[in-house]
Amino acid sequence: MASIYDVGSSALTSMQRAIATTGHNIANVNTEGYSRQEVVLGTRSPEKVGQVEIGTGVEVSNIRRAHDSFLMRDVQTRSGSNGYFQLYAKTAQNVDSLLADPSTGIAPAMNKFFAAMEAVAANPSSSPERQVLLSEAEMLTQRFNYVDTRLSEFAGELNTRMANMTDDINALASDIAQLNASIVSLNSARGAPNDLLDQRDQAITELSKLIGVQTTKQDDGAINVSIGKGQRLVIGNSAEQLRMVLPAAGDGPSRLFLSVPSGAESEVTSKLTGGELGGVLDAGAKLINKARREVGLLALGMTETFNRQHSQGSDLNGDQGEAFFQNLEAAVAGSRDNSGLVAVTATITQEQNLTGDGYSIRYEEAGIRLTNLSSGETRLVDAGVLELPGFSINVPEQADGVVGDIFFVEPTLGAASSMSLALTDPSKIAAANEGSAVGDNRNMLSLIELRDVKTLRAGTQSYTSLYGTTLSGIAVETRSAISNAETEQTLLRSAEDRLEGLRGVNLDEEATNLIRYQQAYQAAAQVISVANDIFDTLLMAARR
Amino acid sequence: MIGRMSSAQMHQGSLNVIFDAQARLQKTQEALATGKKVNEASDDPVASAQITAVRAELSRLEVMQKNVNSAYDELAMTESALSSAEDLISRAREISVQGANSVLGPEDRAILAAEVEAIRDQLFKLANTQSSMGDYIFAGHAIDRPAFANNDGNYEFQGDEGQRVLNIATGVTVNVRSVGTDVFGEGETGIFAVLQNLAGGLRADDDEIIQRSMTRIDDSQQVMLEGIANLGSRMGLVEDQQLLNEAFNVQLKESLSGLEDIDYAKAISDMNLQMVALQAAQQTYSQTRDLNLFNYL
Repeated sequence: MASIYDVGSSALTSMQRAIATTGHNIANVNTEGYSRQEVVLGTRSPEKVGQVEIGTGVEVSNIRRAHDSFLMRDVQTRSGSNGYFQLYAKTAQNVDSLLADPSTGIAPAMNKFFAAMEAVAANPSSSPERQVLLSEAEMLTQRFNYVDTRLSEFAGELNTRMANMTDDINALASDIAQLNASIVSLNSARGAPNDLLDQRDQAITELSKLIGVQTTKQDDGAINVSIGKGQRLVIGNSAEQLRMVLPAAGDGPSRLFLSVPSGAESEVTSKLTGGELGGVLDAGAKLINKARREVGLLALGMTETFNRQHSQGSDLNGDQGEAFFQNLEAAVAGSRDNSGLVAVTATITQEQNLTGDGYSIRYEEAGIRLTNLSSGETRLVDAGVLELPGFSINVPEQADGVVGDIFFVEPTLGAASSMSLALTDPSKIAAANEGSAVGDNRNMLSLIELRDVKTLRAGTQSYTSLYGTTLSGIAVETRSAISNAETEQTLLRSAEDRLEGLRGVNLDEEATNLIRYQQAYQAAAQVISVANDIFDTLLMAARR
Repeated sequence: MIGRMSSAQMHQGSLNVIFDAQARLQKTQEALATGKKVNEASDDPVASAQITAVRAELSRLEVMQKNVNSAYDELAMTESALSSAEDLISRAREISVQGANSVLGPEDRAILAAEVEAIRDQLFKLANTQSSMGDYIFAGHAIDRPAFANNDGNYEFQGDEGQRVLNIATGVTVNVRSVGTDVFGEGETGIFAVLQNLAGGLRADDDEIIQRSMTRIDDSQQVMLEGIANLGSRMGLVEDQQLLNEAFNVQLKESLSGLEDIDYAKAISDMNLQMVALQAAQQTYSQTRDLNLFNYL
């Protein structure tokens, strides 16, 4: 008879737990990453009475979270590619707006500069026209400076973001490792630590947004996480750390290193893909640096070809034309992590043959590696003077044991920031052909022709076409980045929708569950009350 | 197929629909306010790159039209100087015909000689015409000193053969000046020497010199007329180019408009549809937000 109480109380306890779980779901209706939990009820072991088996009530056999690892992984993958494209598209839009802007772009300043040259050609001996030409030339160099400075600021902003992301990635990796440890210790056949599993899924999703990850689930319940091309970030309860090295020149490429269990670390800059960090790395290399190199190429090429033509003419005093723009130099920067003593140097030999590519020189075990940063082409070279299109690099021998030192050789990147006017005296504008009288405008006409003559990139581009190519290249890239970002946003939303549909809390559903469990609880209480009555009846009968 | 939806999803879903509708409406409003469909480069990066190229072309064309005008002004100024010169040469020829008449006495011829000398001086002034900028327009590149100098009756050209070439369209140039020697001649056969001779012949009462001067004036006049004709054809070229440039300008502005201007009818109808969509989304949300079983417990 006592078993009636047992049966009733097993139901009371189980329904209380079910109501508590329903309450937990309701409480977490707005918790991000929460998976609703379901109480799985089962019958308790029956009792054998004589020949029959009598049921002994109900028990909570498990509390299960609504989860689908396929949908979860889909959300994580989509978060990564969405993060990548959102950041890449945003940077592309910034670069594109800067270059194509009708007021801040280089094109309008170039238009005004050439209009001022036409005015000098129409009145070669007139001083006001010459003065205007110098002002417009000054404006043009300032516009070059401005565009390159802004691009360099974009790069700086990306570096700051990258530093923040590196910190976030490290924090998330530690969280995941700690959660792994707790989950492994709490895992049991009776049930999993659901809320911790949710937290870990959420941490991995946030990590995926920052960087492309691969996950593998272990038998003990831990999840191992690797990034890039299989570089381990989290193994069981231990996490590796990413370290960012800022560029030496302030706006060059940043480098990323990942610690490895042995305690050493290895460079992973070129191996990391996906996520916002991948987006930042690619936006820096493919958009900002490319734009800066091309704008720099135009600045260098224009300085050189314009000066050369200008020196072939005579100024108002009959003297040979002097440099119109200040001559520019190639930039070489060594990484901050370099340990060797000697430095790589570079010299521009033929501006008009420059391609606008950047290079790196890296001292490796196998030898000295030259990499074209624009195309990715790479080869081993001998120490000495390396001749490349339009410039040469002097690569010295390093002392033995200096391995991993890297130098970035950028003949054109940043050149636009240094472009400046050399001429200050309007009468020194060499509008006339050499030895000709003051009314001659022929050298000015030759200078005007430079706008459309293919003097740059080994005779394949003019001032106009080079800038046009840069602009349309960025425009096409921006358009496809925007459309990719929109597509990825939609894909992510639908993946999240599917996951959320499966695991999210629905209040109507919880309300019906609440009623269901409440009714069962009331009925179970009734069972106890009936058992009590029966017991009373029995006692009363015995008292007689 | 979505079997179930979470409560957060229902809210977020309605909110997303409202956000999307607001963003679309905002874009259309901006386009209507500015009249442009490309307001930022990112609205249509490829179109905005083309817009930059078309604007550069328009700005160049504007400069070319400016050059067309100054070329025309320069040519007109030269033409006016040369026409006056030609009138004077015609008058000098009449005088030479008149002077060749044997009934005239030395006094009459002296009067004619004085008139020829006056014509010579006027021509000399015309040959040293200065532009509004102070350029001696017949001096070639040596614009800073008079084209012709008079050294005690010896008229010498002190300019050079230089031209003043202006760009009036991409790849199209025009020389807006005439070199003094090409129109006024030089040395013995130059108009100044010829008139000097004629005046001398008249004063000396020398029929032979007068006769010879007459043919030389004819030659000078011929040279001058050819110079004027040449100017005329260059003015014609400039006028033609002006029309071509204007036509090109219209064409460029049309393509610019096609790239950046909105179609008002379409934009307004878009805006109405988008407003309806936004209202519908907002109403849907306000009517469904309270649908919750807990309200009935």
